[in-house]
Amino acid sequence: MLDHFRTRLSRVDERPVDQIDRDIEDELAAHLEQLQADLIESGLPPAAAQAQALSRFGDPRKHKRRCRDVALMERRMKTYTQIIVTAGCGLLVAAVTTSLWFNQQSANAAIGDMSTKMADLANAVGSRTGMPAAGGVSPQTAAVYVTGDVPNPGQFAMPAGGVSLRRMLAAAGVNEWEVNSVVVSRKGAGGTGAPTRIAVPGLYLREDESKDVALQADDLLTVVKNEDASNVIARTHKPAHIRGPRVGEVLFVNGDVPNPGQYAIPTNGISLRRMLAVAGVNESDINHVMVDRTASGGSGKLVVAGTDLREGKEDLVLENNDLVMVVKNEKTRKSADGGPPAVIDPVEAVEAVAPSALPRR
Amino acid sequence: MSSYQNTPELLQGTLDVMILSVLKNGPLHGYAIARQIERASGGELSIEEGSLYPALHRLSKRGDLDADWGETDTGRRARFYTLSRQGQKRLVEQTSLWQRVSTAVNSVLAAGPSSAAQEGSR
Repeated sequence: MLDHFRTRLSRVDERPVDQIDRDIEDELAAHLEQLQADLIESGLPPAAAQAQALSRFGDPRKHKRRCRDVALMERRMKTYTQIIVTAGCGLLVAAVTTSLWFNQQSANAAIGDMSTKMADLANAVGSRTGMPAAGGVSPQTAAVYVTGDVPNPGQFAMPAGGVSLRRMLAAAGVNEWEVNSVVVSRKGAGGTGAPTRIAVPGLYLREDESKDVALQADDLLTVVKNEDASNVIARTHKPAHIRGPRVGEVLFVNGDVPNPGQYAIPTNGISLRRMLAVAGVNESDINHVMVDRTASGGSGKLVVAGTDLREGKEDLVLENNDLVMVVKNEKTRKSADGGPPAVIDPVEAVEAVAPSALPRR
Repeated sequence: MSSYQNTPELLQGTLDVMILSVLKNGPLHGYAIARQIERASGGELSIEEGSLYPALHRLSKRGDLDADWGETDTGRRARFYTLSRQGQKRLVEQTSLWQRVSTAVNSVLAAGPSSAAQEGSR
């Protein structure tokens, strides 16, 4: 069948159609003329000879049409084949394109569904571990503050069911194997009693689950990695002064800070170290911090060295309208103390800060 | 001139073999082929002469005939057809087939109506 088809296609008459028509007409006309001439020669008058010649020959148009069909049959077959093949290829391409489009749509739907599930899962995990949903500031009232050698320092919401130290370290991106020690600074009972400090060696965290610590609201975790092992744990922590509820008070954090802006002061107050943690500052990067209290008619500017902060020697309770300027190690003391701040104006910061950056009470 | 005008039924198969047959002696143009068939059949078979040409073109395209333009004895331009090797082979096959059919038909005709009546009376 296929061979027969190929043979037929190989017989395509390649002459131009008008040439084919001329050849057929010449051949038929030659026959008619010869027949008519012979009939005249046999004695018939020309008119009768012409009529008889046409009668014996048949309709020349019909014969020409049939000859033309024979000549062009393979050419038409080839054209139809090309049309069919082209249409088939077009349909095939359309089918493949449509199939790919549907596959893409299915994949997109699957990805969307997966994203939704992952978001749900992240929310579920966040609600259990205190991991912030976004921006490091959680709408939860109770919070834990993490600073020191931490990939993600900041304020973390305290889940309703509580959270352990190990889980909180995981939420802050801390690798337990790199921890030399963690100091948990905890306010006294009712916010007025003597503060306590719990030093947890990294070894305990890694190898003895019973040494894990159940964290409480407002706990401040200071993480020290192995390479920075110091006597942080042994040093005396100077407690921040805690006072009563404060409503509608704000402070400003600026300088070398991941999240500069205006922050609401929690009702039970907040210390400098906790505030720095909330603003995402890594204590180990700090050269010094300047607290400007002149806007509230206070005692002017107070400079706290980064080393004092890290070692727990220095901390203070922040006041309404305080401006906290952070200078990292590579900055000079002059640019933070005397010279113009290498940071944006605090007023602009207040205007620029997004509402979501404000810690919830 | 002709006592039997060709019909499609007659042409089916027979015209092709008649054309191949008259060309076995050498190249001829269409008009000469028509005259040869007429003469060879004693005037009993005459085809509608124009219908020769679709058959000639079909046989040429099939490879049974070769065709070339030339001049007739009277100096007229005409297309001359020659039996190809394939055409010769086909002529042998078709002639054999036709003879078998002809013999069979003759046998049927020779049996005649009396034989048929005898068969029916049994």
